[in-house]
Amino acid sequence: MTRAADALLVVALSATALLALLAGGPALTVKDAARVLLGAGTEEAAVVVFHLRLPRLLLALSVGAALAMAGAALQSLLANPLAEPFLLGISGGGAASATMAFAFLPMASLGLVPLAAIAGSAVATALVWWMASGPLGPSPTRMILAGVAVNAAASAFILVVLAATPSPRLPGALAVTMGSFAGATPGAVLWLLPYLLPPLAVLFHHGRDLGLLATGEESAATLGVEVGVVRRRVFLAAAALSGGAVAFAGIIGFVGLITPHLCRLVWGHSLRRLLPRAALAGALLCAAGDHLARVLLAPTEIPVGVITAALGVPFFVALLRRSA
Amino acid sequence: MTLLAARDATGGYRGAFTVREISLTADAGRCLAVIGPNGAGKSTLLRVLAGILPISAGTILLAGRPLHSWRRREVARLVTLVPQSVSFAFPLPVQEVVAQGRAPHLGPWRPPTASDHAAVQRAMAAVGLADKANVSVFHLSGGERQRVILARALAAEPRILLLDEPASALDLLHQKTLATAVRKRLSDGVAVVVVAHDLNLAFALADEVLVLQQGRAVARGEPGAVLSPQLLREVFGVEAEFIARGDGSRAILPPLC
Repeated sequence: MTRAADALLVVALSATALLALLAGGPALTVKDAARVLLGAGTEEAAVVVFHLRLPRLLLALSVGAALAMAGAALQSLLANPLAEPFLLGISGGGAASATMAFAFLPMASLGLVPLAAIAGSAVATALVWWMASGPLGPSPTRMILAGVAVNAAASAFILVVLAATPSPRLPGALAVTMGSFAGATPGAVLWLLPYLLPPLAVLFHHGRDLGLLATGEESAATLGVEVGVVRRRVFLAAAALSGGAVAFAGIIGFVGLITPHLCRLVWGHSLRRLLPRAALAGALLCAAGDHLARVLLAPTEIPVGVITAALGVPFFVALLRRSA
Repeated sequence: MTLLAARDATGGYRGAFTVREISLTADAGRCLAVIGPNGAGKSTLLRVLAGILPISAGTILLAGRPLHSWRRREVARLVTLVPQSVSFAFPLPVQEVVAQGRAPHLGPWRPPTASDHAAVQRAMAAVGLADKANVSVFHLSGGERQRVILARALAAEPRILLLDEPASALDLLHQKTLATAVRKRLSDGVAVVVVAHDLNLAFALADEVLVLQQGRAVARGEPGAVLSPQLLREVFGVEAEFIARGDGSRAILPPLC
């Protein structure tokens, strides 16, 4: 059954990727785009496919994978099914910091925006952790409440920054808060990779530890997990994944919540099995969501965060009801 | 042979729940029962012995070396703590939980071998859960979950087993299964420290009893010598009746009315 699901996931992902390159947007007919992919086609068509659609697709795939893996890891680390970068305020913290960087950094150092986003995500993570922990460890309820508080603070901060942003910088700063892949460039995709690969290695290395942490910190410690070390590393990795995603695509909620849970239903809870599948499923969700965002009200484009929220909110409510 | 020794150890949670100046040894093939009223620090003591909570004074030696100088995973290969309960965030199948017990031996990357799988199967059989291997822990009763946690510890095959109220949710049959499983480990040379509310469990299993009151040891010795009506009056504040059993051993009737 899991083999078949693996195959289905790969097929769905490939089909979505192909669809994203072939269709969507009035500039090109499907036939012309197909010709480009087959190596023929006009030069203008090639520009649309390879310089506009392909980077956008790759960004959606990378961001989706990053958010889903961050969610899967946080859920296990915190032994909390509701944990994910968006709800815990980690994306919000990254966005607050990235908005400020976009607004006020000198033009030449805009390459530092991802670092600022990661730093903001890390600070938000630390804040949530500090607020949620009590003498006997963090409680899941307090953690979600702490996420609400950090999210509220981040939103307020973003509004203040936007109010003070010089008008030429406003679109860039605003884009961070919207959640969209429209700003994708070939460069952005390459810039994102260094922020994704090291955290990925950290999560895989601690896959077994994370499985143990899903039964609680004390329980994990009795089975040999250096809880403090693993927690620090995984938090940083999750902050890097979320911060990187925010810096290049803005806040996209619920991908980190939905995909790991759907994958847990099919592939079980072992993190080593779960992480790659969650990554692929997150990539699929973002790529498909972006496609819908482009074509649903074409030529108007909906922010992709709207699509993922439309899917995520009912899912969140269902999880909440079940855990109540 | 002494595997774990505490000398005048003081430690516990920061600010609250501490144990003070505790001395004890956990010896191969012997069972030490820790008893005392609610809040006496019994569970805290087990966590200190497992190295999960820090000590602020005194020493704890594991196989002759200070406990804090061991790496966490090395400790876990030798010492396993069985907490009273574990909260599961996800519906893991029983077998997967029990297999977690092998983690200290596997490290981050080594896949489980046939001998690891065999240890998991033995552990599930020892607590009567072999037929529930694929059932989700969400669908188990409190007593069954407690047996899953015990099986996970048995699968770790430690040299020292620290049990925190292992029978608190078990029915009579499974209390007997537990006692059998513990006796088997003792005969294999495992050192057992068990926190027990059920004084009869202490009577049945322990070679030595340590009585805690407000974080301090107030008595230590053979169960027959330590567990007296006078001690129960002083420590627990109750008048309990001791009865002789058919085999010559003693049992305590709890004073419920």
